[in-house]
Amino acid sequence: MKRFIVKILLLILLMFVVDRVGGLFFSYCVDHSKGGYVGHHQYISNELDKEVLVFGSSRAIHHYDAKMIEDSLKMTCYNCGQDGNGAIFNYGQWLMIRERYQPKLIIYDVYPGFDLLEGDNHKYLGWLKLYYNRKGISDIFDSIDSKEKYKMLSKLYQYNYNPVQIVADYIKPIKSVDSYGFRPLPGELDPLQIKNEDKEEEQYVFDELKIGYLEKFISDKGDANIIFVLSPCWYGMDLNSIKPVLDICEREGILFIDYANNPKYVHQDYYFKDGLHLNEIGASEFSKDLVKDIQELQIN
Amino acid sequence: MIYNSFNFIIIYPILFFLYYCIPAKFQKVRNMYLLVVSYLLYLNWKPAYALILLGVTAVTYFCARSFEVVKNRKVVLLGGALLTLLPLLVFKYYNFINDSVFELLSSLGLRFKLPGLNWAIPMGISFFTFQALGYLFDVYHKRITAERDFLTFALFISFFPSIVAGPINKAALVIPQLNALRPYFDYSKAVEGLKMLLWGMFMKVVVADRVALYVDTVFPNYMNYTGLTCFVASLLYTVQIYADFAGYSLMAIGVGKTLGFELTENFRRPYFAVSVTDFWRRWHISLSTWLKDYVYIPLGGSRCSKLRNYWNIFVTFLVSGIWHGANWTFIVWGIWHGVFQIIEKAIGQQKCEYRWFGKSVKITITFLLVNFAWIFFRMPSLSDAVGMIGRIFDFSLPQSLYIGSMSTGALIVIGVIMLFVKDFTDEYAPSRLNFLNSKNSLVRWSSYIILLSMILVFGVFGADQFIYANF
Repeated sequence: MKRFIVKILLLILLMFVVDRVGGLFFSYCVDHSKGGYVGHHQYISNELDKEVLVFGSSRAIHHYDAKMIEDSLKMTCYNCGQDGNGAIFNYGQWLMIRERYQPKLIIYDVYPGFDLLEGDNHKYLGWLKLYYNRKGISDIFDSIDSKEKYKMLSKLYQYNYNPVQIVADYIKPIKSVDSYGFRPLPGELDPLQIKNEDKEEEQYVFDELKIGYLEKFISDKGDANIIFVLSPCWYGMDLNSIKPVLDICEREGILFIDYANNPKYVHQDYYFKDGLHLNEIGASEFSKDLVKDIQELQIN
Repeated sequence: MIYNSFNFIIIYPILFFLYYCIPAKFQKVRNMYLLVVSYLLYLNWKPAYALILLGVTAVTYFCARSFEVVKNRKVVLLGGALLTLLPLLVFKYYNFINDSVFELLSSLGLRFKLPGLNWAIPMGISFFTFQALGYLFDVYHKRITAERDFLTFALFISFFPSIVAGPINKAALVIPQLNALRPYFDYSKAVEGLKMLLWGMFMKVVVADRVALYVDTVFPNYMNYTGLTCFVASLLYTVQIYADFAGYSLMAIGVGKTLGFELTENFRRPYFAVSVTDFWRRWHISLSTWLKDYVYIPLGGSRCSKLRNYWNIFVTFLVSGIWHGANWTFIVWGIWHGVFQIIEKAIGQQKCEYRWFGKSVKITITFLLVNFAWIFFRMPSLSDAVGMIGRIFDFSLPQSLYIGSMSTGALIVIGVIMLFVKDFTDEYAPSRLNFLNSKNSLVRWSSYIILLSMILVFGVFGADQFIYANF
């Protein structure tokens, strides 16, 4: 037994060393990333200083042409959207941005699946793991899973979400960090990516934690203007699925614009890449419409 | 206990050291400790369901004891078996039977339905029920004597390493170990157990749960993907279910070994099987042994006419399908395996007498047959399963392949290659590339460190559940 315990302790000690060295390696790769996803997050977390910021999921990053918004509104703009993420991740990003400066306008693209509906929230911690030691981020982890703080004691685990991407973005990123963040989707609608529309009325189960982070985002916005946008969707979108956002907007006097049910876009194959995402043409058209509405409503 | 959970990593070392605080001569106290731990872990899930575990234990214990005193042993066996099966039938099959009868009656114009049950299925119920039933049959057939000590028997049924998803242990294997005076600590067994835990964890969190990210994207929305993508997803599900279940079994057996116990081997590189018959000698061995001993052989096995033998195979795999779940998809999956074994038997292709090329062809054919059967296993309904297979063979669309993210794709490739190389060398050259058991301590320790690091960096954590824990 004594021999067994000694060897187990030795293994733990060796793993501790490997964990620290591995953590240093990944930390170096992140700090020196040359672009790609990691570069995008590093830029947002450490350097971003634009006046208009777009938050949301893949529907944000593929829909909002930040350059067009910048040129039209005469205010610098950056698209902070991130695939598969919503309120929890966005709040984490916002905490890091807010530490440095105050933007003038926030455009928040809502998507019920990531911002409001119940589901496993662990996945939204993925990219935030890189910034666990930044102010306020560990509280987000705690609110989702109290055991995360123990897991995060491992430095390797801290880079567990996307290790291949971290190394790739250090060695040779596919895309360099541009000054707008917008990633248009080229090409036409892929008919395979249109799902059968279920006409039955759905019962939505909302996630109080996500809604809480959305409310925190609003309460922490300071002097910045904020608007909530439902960007175009091939299927259209049931407004019952975003009811908490509509309630918040009404309560807080925040502007909400619905393009998802705008007949100009619904079922218009020409504008879409798939059922949820606009293609390059659609994104350009939508950004023009958005800018026009913002100018008309004199939000900026 | 869910072995890939954070709770396990924290609780298990404590349980381990407390167990070894009890001197070996206090064997009963050690068993009592394991029994209390097993029940506490079960209570931790849904306390009320521990009563079902206790009920099944009590029924089989007293029925087995009564075989010694009653005259009509058959009636006791029948009553005991039915009582043991009752919770399984109610919790797992009630809704399925109710719905199926309703549909049947509806087609005859009669609309009558009992209210459905909205209860969670007790964890591991299929496993501990079959383990208890196996014991009952063994005592009835006088293969073993009835265990006199209730606590020892209760520990055999509830032993925490194997209660959630097996292996389904035979009483003849485990009860003697519980009764014997075990050595205080078996170093080599404990080290072997930890190696099994390590590789099992790798299979689960690095391979199975990573592959699941792709599978879970494509399967529910198969109509939105090309045939090629659906086919790749089906191949990956075949990998996932193996890595998930064999990984779990390895961890269960490994935990047993660290406590000084030998549990039933459950997997032996099933995807290198040369026939579906051979596959079942390698896949979920404890279940296939159970079915052979308590269904196939009592039906007459192979010592009967050919047609009767085919019928016995068919019924055995029908039972296997039903055991897996209350859904027509599992029944079709079971029948699929049964029918292909009958065909193999009829054409004399159960074994492989070919050289390497013929053997490779047979392995490939078997793999594909098993692969397509898994589609029924994975899909929620027969129409979805047929739809997915139809999509795979729909060549009218351009055959592009959905890759997903670069990271997921790369990690899937790395994990699957490592799993394949390990199984390939274990199958054909067990003395080579066996890094975890290398005589060179540098190689051995480096393997531990690399695997642990890969689990930390590449593992998917948070998806705590094992597929077979649902059965």
